[in-house]
Amino acid sequence: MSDSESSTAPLAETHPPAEEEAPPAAVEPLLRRGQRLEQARLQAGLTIADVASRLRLSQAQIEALEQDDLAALPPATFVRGFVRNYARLLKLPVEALEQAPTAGAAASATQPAFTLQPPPSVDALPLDGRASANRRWLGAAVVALVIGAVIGVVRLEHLDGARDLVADQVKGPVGFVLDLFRSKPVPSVAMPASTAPAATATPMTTSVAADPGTGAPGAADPGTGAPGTGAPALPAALAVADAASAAAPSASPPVPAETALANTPASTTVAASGEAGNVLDFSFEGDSWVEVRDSTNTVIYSRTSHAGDIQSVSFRGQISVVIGNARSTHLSLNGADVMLAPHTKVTVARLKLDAAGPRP
Amino acid sequence: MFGFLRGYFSNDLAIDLGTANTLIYVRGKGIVLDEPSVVAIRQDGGPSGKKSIQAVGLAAKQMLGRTPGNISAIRPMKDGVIADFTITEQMLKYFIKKIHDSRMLSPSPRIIICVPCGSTQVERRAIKESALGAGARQVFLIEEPMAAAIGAELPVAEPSGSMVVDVGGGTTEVGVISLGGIVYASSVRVGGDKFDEAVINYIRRNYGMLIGEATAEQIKKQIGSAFPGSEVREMEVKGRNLAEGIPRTFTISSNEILEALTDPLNSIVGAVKAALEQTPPELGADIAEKGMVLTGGGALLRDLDRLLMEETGLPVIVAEDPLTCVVRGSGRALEEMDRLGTVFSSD
Repeated sequence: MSDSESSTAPLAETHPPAEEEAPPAAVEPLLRRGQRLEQARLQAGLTIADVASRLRLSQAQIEALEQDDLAALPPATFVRGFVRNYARLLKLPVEALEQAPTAGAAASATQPAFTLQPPPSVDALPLDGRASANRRWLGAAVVALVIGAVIGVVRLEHLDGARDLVADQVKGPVGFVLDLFRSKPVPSVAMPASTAPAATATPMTTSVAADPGTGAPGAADPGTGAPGTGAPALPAALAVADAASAAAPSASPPVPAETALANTPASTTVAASGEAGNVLDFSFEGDSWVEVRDSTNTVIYSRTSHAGDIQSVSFRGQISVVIGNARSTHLSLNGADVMLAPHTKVTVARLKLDAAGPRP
Repeated sequence: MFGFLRGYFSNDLAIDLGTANTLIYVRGKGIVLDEPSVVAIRQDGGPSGKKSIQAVGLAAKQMLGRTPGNISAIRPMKDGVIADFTITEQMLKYFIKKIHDSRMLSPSPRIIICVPCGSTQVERRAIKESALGAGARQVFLIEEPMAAAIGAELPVAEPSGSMVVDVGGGTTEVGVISLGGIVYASSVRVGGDKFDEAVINYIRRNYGMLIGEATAEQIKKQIGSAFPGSEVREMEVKGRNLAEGIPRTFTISSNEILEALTDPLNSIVGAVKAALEQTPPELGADIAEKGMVLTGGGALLRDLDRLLMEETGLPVIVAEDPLTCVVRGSGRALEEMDRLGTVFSSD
């Protein structure tokens, strides 16, 4: 552009200023904007170079203005400004000229004159623009909600667990912990996998295998699990369970689990927590209900058992025991038999016990 | 307490809090207010008496220089920034209430306000606090060159340099903008007020006559010119003769006013040249092709574009409706404020 200016500068000096001698231009309404400008320029006796030097535009831009070649010109805002300056130079009415049709009118109409938005490719970048920032916030909010929900659920479960723990702690100091099959493993090693659910659903132990004295032969004979022979195995029910888990794999594999389950009596171990000192074992020859309360009169065990069942309760301190059918129930404390007859009225035995044995 | 409710019933505003005029754009409606930034204060009962607002805007401007002792007409903005914090707050409150007419709840709009790019942090904070004090819920600041460029419909978001020269009442802002950001901006505290002042001083010096600001502004608008033209215009002016102390009439020509305006105009030209010197060469090439755009009331000074064209050798165009460019640009930013984040300036 500076080249064109320097080349046109001498020309500009040869012509008198356009404002002084330009005649009032007769604008024909049907002419295009560029044609009007060109006509007025020719009437004023100016060359393209003159106009370019006066308006500080390049000659190519002046030609493009006169040919309405919008593609060769800057955005529409600037073109309108150039046209205004050009019209003022030629003393043309600016308003009429701005409303005149242009060859590129259709193109300029479809093309937005101006946008504040960055180009689409830039908009697609995640770091730019408020809209994407909003989306980011939305995503962050959703993630935060999900995390909050998960934490809430976990805390709820933790609270439930804590409640259980509190209950345990309430029971613990007074001596009784009631826990079914939690601290002691189920001797289900010998069972096929298919029977495992049954074993957990009906809490039974293969008491035959649990008798260390009888060992493998006893385990092989389903008959030893009959109610009559179950009693001698009772004193060490808990220790037995552990021993069974170790002994069973070697000693009892030949026994089909189904037959063992079908013929052996059910045995429920009310296992003690670690600190419990005393073990109370019940074995039943007939149906009987049993209720055990601790020193604060809280029921720590209450259940109806059937013939052949073996129950075990761990406790600490003093407890009171009520047995509904004392004649069909054998009771032993830490392995030593407890005579129920002195505490029995009709069929119900009521007695208080501590580590030393029955209390009057 | 009912802030969110009041906000719901308030219209978001863009305000061009100018030294000379305050313009307000309402979202979805356009420019609804264009009033001079003048407040007339009445003081009752002596110097320690109660102050009350007598008039704001056009009515107050008519009082400028014509007030009795107990009324003072004040222009709370000076050089583009707040000169009197309390009065500015009251003026804003008045304008906001005026455009939220017949509302039960007091308005609590979100407001975009233009600030000169050369304003200090303290000055920006003052403008923000003032708008908050006038009841705004949230205030965003936008620098004047950016607002002017958006208002002049320059392609601000494109990777192409655009230069805007906003000649306002108190300041002249020169900005080079590309990709939605300001590459270079400078602000000189020269504007319409300085032109008026220059005219007053010239007449006092050369004619021994004292004229008021309103008269000086009238002379500037009627026969003021920035470049010597073929046509010489004259105007009859009334003022007080300093020697006689009696009002007299005299005639002044456009060439004399051009001479009077030389100093402030040179400051503007200097700022534009400094901006061009500081502009990176690629953007400078864009500006050489497209030219610079003049906005603001000062752009209406006759042949200011011609002066800049001659001084810089670049094309210069005057924006359409240059007086409202800044507020239109702020309004445009307001309309798209949820999608735009980058055009607003921080404190």
